[in-house]
Amino acid sequence: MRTRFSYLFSALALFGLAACETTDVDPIKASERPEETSDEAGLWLQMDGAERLLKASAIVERDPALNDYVRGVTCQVIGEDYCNDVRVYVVKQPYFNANMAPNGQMQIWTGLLLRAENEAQLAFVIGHEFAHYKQRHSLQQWREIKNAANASLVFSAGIIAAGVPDAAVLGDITLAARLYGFGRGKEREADQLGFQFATDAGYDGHEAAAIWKYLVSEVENSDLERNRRQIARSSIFSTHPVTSERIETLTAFAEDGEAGTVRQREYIATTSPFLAKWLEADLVRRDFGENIFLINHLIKRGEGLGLLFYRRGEAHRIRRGEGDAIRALADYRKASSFEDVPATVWRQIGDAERTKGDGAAAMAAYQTYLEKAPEAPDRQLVKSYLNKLDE
Amino acid sequence: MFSTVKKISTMVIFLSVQACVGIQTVGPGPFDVQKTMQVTVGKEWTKYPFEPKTGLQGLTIDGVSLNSLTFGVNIKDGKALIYSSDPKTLVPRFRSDMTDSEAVEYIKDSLIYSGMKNVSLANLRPETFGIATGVRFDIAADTERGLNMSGTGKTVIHNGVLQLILYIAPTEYYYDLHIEEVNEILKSATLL
Ligand SMILES: [Zn+2]
Repeated sequence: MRTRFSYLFSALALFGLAACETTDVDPIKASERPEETSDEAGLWLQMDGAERLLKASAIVERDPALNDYVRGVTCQVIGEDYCNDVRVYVVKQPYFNANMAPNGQMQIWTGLLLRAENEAQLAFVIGHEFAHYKQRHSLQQWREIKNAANASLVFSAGIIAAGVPDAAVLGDITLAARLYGFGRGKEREADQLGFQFATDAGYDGHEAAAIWKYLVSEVENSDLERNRRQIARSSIFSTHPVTSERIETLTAFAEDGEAGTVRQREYIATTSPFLAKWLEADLVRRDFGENIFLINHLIKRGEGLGLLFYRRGEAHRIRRGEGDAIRALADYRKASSFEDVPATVWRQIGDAERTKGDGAAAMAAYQTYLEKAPEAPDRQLVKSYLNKLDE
Repeated sequence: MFSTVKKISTMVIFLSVQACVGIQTVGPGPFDVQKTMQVTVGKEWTKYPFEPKTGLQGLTIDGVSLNSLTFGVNIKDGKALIYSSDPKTLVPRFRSDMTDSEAVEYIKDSLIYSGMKNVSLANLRPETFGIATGVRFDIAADTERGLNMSGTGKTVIHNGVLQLILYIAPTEYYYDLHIEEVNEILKSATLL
């Protein structure tokens, strides 16, 4: 057990005026822990604190089946030896993101799970993140920042690690990595090693570039011009490799390798129970262009169509662009012909028909809604609509 | 790090603690919100300064994280309950042609956007709001840190603008502590 003294000591090591330390570090071995008084131990200690917050928070998806699955893929990719060193958290955030803390805390955000198409793509993400851990990229980065002798930079990195409340829950490394980036070199290394880990575990190398290709096409449909510009041509000052370069490199890796498994069925079976929730959360971002592009992409799978047409109707309804009201109603009608449609589709059809002025169609839809969802939270409200339409 | 150009914007959200300047108390008695809405409060509440960028006015008794009563007045078409310095930021925005349940959805999505997790609505029901009929609703949610929260509120769209009263408090102990007072306040709301 760590004593208070050792905590202080690590903190001192972390903030102390260390002479230029080597940023050249050996990969971490399985079960290896940092020396108790090292700067690395200090980094770990801070991340342990952040991880305790994360564990207790409401942003962690705790579904056992999903967690078992992600954990299984992780152990497959990183190998049994490292499996106990890495803890994977599925984090309920609608953005495409994953990150790795130096102490072995890995976060996979639900916005990424929503967009990955198969297990192989998830495996590459895990491989990439694990590479950051194994190569001790956080420690290297920490020492690079310190060696830059920019006291204010070091200080603010400390502040970040100490935690702004919300950032603390998400794990400070996210924010720190966003501010400083792991840098192009480390990201390239993580791509290369991640590719190796995933293909060694038997996954198909072509999927590594595929997830990026999909992402580029989605962001090209963003409602936010800034996003569309950035994905098209990342700035030369960008700390991340340009996305197109990343895709080219990963594609070249795959050409040299042999084909592997993709495991799309397993992936879809595990994630489809969350699709309704994740798509709803994605729409809260209000990037209708991306949300509709994503739904259309999922529709191509040819399953879960009741839910998917319903969700597209929701995006059209909330967007309120020209012709969107008609599109929304058409989506809802189409969705309602599938078995897996949520009962709320009938309530939306009722609202759309009522707005259009078709009282009879609205009443029919509201009645169907109340029959199919007798415990609906808006039951009384819908009943009041029915009473008004009946007058 | 495996992320895209997207960033989670840091924004001032309407439930956040504001600077401790200009704090006054109100009640017991009538309380006017921006000469638009009037309620009658039965206890003494601490009033935070009106936030013109979002149109939100906050009251609390024990501190904003223990009980917050938020008034939103004259929310106009295109307005967000979440403040962002960049007007192009994608956030839930009010539309004057929303149905009353869409108004509640807008409030719910704004709460989610601002970081509340596992937000669910219950008991949506028509309730008078001044001279108009609005919607009353209950809310359950968790803070990011994992604290269970309960809430209740009402909203109305009248003459193309949205009015809102929302009470949120930790489910354990604090929600019940002032719920009778809050129910009376909600009942007393009139539009001026
Ligand atoms: Zn990375």
